[in-house]
Amino acid sequence: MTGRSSALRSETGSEPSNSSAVLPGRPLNDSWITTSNLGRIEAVGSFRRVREILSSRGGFSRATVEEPVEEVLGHDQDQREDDAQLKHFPIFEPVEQVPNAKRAWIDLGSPLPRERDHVFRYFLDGSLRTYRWGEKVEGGTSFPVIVTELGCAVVKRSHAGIVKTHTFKRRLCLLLPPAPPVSSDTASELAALAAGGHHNSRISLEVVHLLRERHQGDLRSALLGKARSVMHELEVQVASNLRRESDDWLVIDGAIRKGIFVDLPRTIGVAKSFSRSPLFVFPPAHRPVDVVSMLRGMPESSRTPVFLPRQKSQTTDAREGQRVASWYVRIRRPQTRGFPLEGIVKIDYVVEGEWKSDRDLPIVERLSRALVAERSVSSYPTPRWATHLYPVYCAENYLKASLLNPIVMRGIMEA
Amino acid sequence: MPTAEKEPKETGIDDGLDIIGKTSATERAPNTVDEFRFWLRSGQLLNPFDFVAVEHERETVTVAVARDMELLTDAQGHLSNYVSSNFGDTSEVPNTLRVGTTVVTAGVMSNTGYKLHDRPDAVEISLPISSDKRVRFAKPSEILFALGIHAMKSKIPAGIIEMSNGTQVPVSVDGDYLLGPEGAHINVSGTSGLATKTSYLMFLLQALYQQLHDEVCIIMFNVKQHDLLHVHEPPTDLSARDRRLYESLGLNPEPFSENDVRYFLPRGARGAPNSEHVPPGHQVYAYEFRDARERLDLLFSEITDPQGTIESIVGYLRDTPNLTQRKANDSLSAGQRIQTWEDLRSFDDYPEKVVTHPYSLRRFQRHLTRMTRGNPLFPDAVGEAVNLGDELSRLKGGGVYVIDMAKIGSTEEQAFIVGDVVSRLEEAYLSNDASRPKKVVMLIDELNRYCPKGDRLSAVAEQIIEIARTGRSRGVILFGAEQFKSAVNRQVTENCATHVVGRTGSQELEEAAYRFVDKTTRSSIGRLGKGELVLAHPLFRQPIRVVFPRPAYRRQETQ
Repeated sequence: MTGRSSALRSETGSEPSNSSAVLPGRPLNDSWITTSNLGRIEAVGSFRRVREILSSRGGFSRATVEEPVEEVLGHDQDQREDDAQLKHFPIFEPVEQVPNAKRAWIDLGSPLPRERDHVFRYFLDGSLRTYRWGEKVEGGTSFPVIVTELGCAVVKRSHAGIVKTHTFKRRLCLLLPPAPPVSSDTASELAALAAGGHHNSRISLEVVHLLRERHQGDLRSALLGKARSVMHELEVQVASNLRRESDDWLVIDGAIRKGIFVDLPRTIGVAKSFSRSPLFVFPPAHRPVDVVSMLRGMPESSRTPVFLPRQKSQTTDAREGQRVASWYVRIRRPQTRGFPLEGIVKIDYVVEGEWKSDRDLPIVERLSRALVAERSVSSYPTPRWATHLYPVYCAENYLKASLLNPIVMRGIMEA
Repeated sequence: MPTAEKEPKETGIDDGLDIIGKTSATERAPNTVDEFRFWLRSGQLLNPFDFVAVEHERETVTVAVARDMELLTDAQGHLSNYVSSNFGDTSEVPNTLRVGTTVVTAGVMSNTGYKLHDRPDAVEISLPISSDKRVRFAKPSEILFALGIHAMKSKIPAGIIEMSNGTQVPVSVDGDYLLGPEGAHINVSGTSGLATKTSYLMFLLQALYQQLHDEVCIIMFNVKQHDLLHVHEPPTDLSARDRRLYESLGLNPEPFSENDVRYFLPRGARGAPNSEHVPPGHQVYAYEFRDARERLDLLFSEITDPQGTIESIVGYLRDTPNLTQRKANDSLSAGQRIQTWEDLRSFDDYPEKVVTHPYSLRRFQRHLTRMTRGNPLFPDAVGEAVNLGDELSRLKGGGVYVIDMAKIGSTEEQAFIVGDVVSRLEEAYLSNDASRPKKVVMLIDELNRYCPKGDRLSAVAEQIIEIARTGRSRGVILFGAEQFKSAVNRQVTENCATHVVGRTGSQELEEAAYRFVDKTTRSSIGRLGKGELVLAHPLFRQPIRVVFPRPAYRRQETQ
């Protein structure tokens, strides 16, 4: 569980001025995931006190308990995030030669199963359940108040092929806009409440404010985005703390282009779905090729060349982008007519320093072949099963079972 | 998530014992008062009928017996597995093993209970078991408690529970439910050829003999070669395991005492025994007409008699002790008393109200001739042979009476012998003889032969049913065995308090006679091994599986 050492802390990483506070509440333990343990959830007290603060000065209109969690709206968040990241570097160039730009595929040969070379030992997935708690009315304006429960799980695969939960971390966050529109009085009261809290709690309700400069457009969407950002922070924290052997690789579900991931050693991100917006240029040709054109017809057990973004700017994001190489692998042949990208995953690979073909290409080959072997067993017929790696699916299921049932969560918030 | 590693031992219910899984209640498969489910730790061995224990409310422990097991994986269908194997590629090797576990359904036997006010006994908690409770193998003391053995007044050793973890627990049945007055009779069924049914009943009889001796006398019919004609001889086939089982049951692996056993062999040609084996000290039995006159209905019980004409003649003979031929015929002179079978075969001086048509008399005489003429079992003079009925009217406690009829080929004659014995026991009860032993246990193998199912009851079937119905109070106890329980008259099986079933075919197990066990247990019965039996006793909430040592006498297959 996430141990919090300070009542009010400044968040680090890409959003340094965000604030997060831990609110009072007696310690929780991991056994609180069943409804029968409802009486042991001490976070109830924290929510009650926050509700009192929010209800003063103006008022706080709470959403109905029947309101579903935000994630049930079903947007493809992986693809959304990929789209958002790629706006910084939409043009990619291969780092290796391909004989035919129209069929830029490299045959991987036979898969590399675990029994011959157990490459991927750890699989990480993050998940969150976000609730609109209500609308705070204050000073002639109103803003949404969001609560999110997020978790991160790592499963480890044994040499026998059995996956078992290795790490599980959970956070419970109250997401608020910055001040204003939150009044300074309300913000300081919440901060004071946090300052008097129990900081040795295994899990506590944290208060996270959205950055003013990041606040653009719809506040609710921005807070939801912030929830995902906090989840990625948790993922990085969990990944960083993994004690791995020197040859154990970690697979993170989704893209790792986000800057905070780039210091993780022996880590790849495997995206089940990805942006259609990037373009690929195969010199000496100048005409770019889109994703679908490039990947359509790619045979099973083959990959594209490795790409790096064409560097146009020296922004932090762009520099970090240069450290992530990407390529696509078709782990299984498409079974559905009209879905040309079925069975294709996108791999993000953190390059140590600068790309070196003689060092990195054998690694790419090994990782790609090992990924093809990951197609068995599958999570069929779950959504996106064709690109869902089964150990990641296990981590996802563990998370689903470990996060609070929405009915219970609403009960805690309203108790 | 599955794990190949052993879970660490925890404090609490395990008390140093391994936890084998945790209870699991779901929306679709809730735990109930009668059963709960638990998933099994990876690599853990468990079998149906193993006893498990789980912590319940108020620091009580609930003991249950594993009934059914299912291996579940997260594959939503077979197609998921087909797709996982790269769309049917049989050479595909799974890189990750599917998440899966074995889910066990356990039938609740008992709860150790809690103290409530001034109630003398602990009060059982019947609440369904919660989810996520740790499960372990039950300890022997818990198993005995769950079976209610601690409360039995008269404990009759009935076998050994053998569990997958190597635990062996000798169990008893309550004598009050086996021999009365609470319940009575035992029925054993199962596929023939496994040498289990008769062996078990013989084991149980030897246990009774050793435990109660003078209080019981045992009558057994030998119907298979010389199967039971050596019950006084020491066993030659007991293994070290058998002897160990006897020791744990508190029994001696010894045969019935020679002084207590009496063998009755049917009279054969020239008065010699008609038996596969002639044990020392035997007696030959036969039936003169005067011995059988009152029980001729038994002899004719297999004859179809839709008009009741034979019944009418038999009834007349029974009610007429001084039968006399008034008018001479070819064989009998006027005024001649009817004293032999030969006389009866010639007798034709029946009142008109008894024989309304000459055809009826001829039919009776034809059947009588077929059964008695030249039959050494029904001689006109028995010579040195004894009257079985007379001998059985002098039963003594601790006596073991073996009546051989294995070489008697006719079912009618066998039915007659069984029926004669049963009716003699009935007469002995009515005579209120104080010297009569408290309990008379009668072993009848192939019970379906003498008391088959159906509405038409033969005379011998009526006798056996009467024992099944009233024997509990009269002290006549039926130890019956047959291959198919469904082939036996349900009035007999339903009056049996204790049922034992060996391996049986699935089609037979679908019959109503096996409804006393649930469907999953019936399925397990089909997989029982040699020497394994499922025992259902009124004091046991769930059927249990037992093994038992080979009976301690020289058995036929070892000769």
